[in-house]
Amino acid sequence: MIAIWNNPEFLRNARSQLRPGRSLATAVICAAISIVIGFAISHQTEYGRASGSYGWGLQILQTAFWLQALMLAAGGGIACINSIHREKEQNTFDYQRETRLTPLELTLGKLFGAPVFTYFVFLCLMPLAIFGAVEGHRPFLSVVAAYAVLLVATLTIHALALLISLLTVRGSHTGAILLLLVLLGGTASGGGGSRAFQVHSLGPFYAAEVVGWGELGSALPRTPVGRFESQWGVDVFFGQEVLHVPLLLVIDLLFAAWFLLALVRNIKRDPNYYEIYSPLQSLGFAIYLNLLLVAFFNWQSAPPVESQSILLSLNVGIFFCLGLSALRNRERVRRILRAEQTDANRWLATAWPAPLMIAGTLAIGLLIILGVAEGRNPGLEWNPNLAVLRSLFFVAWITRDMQFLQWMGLRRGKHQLVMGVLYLVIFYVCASILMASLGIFTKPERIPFSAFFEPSAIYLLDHSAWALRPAIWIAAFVAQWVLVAVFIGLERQTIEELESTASAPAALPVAAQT
Amino acid sequence: MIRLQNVTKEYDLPPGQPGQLVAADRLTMEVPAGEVFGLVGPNGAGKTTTLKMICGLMLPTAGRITVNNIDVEQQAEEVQQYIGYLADFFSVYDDLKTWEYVEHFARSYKMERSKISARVREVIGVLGLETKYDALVGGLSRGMKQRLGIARAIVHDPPLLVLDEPASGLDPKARLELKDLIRRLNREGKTVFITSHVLSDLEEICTSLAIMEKGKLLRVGKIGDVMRGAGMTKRVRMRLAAPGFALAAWLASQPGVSEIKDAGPEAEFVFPGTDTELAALVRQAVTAGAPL
Repeated sequence: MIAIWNNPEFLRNARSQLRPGRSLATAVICAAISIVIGFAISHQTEYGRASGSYGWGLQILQTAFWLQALMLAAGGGIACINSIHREKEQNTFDYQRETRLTPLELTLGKLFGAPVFTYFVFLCLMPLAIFGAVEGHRPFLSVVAAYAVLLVATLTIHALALLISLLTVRGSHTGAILLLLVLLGGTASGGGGSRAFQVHSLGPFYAAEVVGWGELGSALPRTPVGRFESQWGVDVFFGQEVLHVPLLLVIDLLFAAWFLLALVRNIKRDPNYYEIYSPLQSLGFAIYLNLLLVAFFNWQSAPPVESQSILLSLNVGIFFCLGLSALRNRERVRRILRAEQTDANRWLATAWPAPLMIAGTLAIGLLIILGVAEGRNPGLEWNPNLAVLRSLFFVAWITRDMQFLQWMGLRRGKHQLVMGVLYLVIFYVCASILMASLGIFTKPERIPFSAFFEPSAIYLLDHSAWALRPAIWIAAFVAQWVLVAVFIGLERQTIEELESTASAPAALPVAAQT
Repeated sequence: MIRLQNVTKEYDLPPGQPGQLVAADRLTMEVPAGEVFGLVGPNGAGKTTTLKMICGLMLPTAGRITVNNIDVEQQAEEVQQYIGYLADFFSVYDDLKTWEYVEHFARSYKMERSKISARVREVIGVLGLETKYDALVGGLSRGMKQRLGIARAIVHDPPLLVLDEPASGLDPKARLELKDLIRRLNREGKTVFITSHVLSDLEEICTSLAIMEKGKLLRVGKIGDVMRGAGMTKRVRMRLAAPGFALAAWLASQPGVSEIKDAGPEAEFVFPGTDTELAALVRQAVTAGAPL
């Protein structure tokens, strides 16, 4: 593999983004901003007056980290989102796909090349950060840990942004950037861990918090600015207290690896045949996400039924994303019908994505049940049979909706999948309003009827609710599978129509006489 | 060099129109090494789709394509070392310098690093862009950008050049230069697969030709044979500057010439060959003593 500093794509970006004039101007602007920030904080804040250089040094360092994180994560992320998308718009991407660069080399070249200007700004802000660290008497390890957090978390954001860029279609570019900024905003606000999950933020802005930490292992702050310092953050991972920084590095690197895998699988493919993950990889990614959820979940924060409900609710988002990425478009199905004419492939094409959804949701449902069974408070009520039923309802519900979307996506017309998602949203909104007006959510004996339409009630199904109307719960469960069968039937019909429109046999070309 | 076996590509027609568009309908053909192979057809015939499938940029709905006996779909990166590709649109990196642009692709095609610099200079020289060596690509004219595109396509010295409508948008002078360049590259041993919707762009440079329409190959073969078979003949009028030469009788003795109308110092006839073959006929007439 080509080293990154020799990677043609990295070099191309570096050459075009770091022309001497532009670099010089950037360095001068960064120096001016650094001087202004250093002067302002050291002379005009309470830190400067009250606690000497310890206080304002730390303040400068944290400001520098915020600027560096903002530049790298937001600026670099936007650059990554622009990179492949813009190349597709300019028609230069085909030339890159045509070169001999392997998918990994092309991906790495873009991953480090697209945001190369933001890396340069990051370096230009380093003197300010070093000045703050020295004046603030920061422990060396804290500063190194903060930079590790910043760079690794940023790398993950960049990999995600690049993946979004690859998948972005014309017209959705602005939405993609907004999505990235919302995601970054979410990671910037986290920091103390939530009640349900015992984990600190995994985002790059957490680095600014890390530099405020004292010496590793010291029980109490020893510096004169003790009130500005805190101890190293600790998470609870599978019931064990673990330092957050190494955990963050491992988790973020694994996320980056998952995003890179998706990029490498697809970056040189025909865009009509993008497949983010293979079915097995999709299952692996869902299991990885759920292991994290289970590992950090605070089992004492809620009763077992509620714990299962929280984790299944989070999986709705996970499986909707995975399900959407697994849906097949007409091009792919056409190819399966024309090129891979085996019975197994045809059967799978007809029922897709039910097998993947059932296997994935079932595995995750059981994983959550195991987690709850192990971590719950043994004194609280827990009925494993009802827990399994809740999981099976989750399986049926996700499969039903994905099967509907697959059928919609295969129908002929423009933006059929988008229309499908829209119909689904309208369905849930209308069903909720209707059921609320009929008092279905408020009267215990009516709650089972809601399970025909949406799964909110099933998540809190306990023994007393079951005992009220078991037949209705079972009927609602069966109804979900009937709907799955109906959508498979409709999908089959659409596929048959697709197959029947195949062209008539072509006349052989007339070979000219020689 | 290139072999297509039952290659099919189907698309949906725009909403509101029933059925589907078959951009390539079970195409089967072979392009031997050393040919300048032209694919001609009207807009929307499926030429670009076919070409993109040959380059591995687009997957066929069905069928198999090999280049140098390597399956394009299975071993795309292996195949790509043999192919130099030029799309039918001008797309370059405007923020790079000319040499940087060509060097970027030399590196991307994994040329030996020690040879890259010399090769970049050589290719830029061959394409006549020496004076723009250090200029930003964004400032080049349309014709120069097209030449730069060809420089990119040939920098790694591929045995196969795949050019999609390379003459479109070029002025007449640039077109002539392009034809000369393609002939030169072919003499150097390169196989050239070229598309156009204008037959006259191809007939002077191609050795073989395929005619495509609505995704189907109508005719394939040596250019003269295809043109004769397809009824692509020329009606030619020759006039003598001075009497004394039996022009109609001489024409009647020439192979391929038909429907001769004798009108004294003037003769009108049907000729099935290419422009090059017609030029050869004129030369023969002059050699035979006709004061044309």
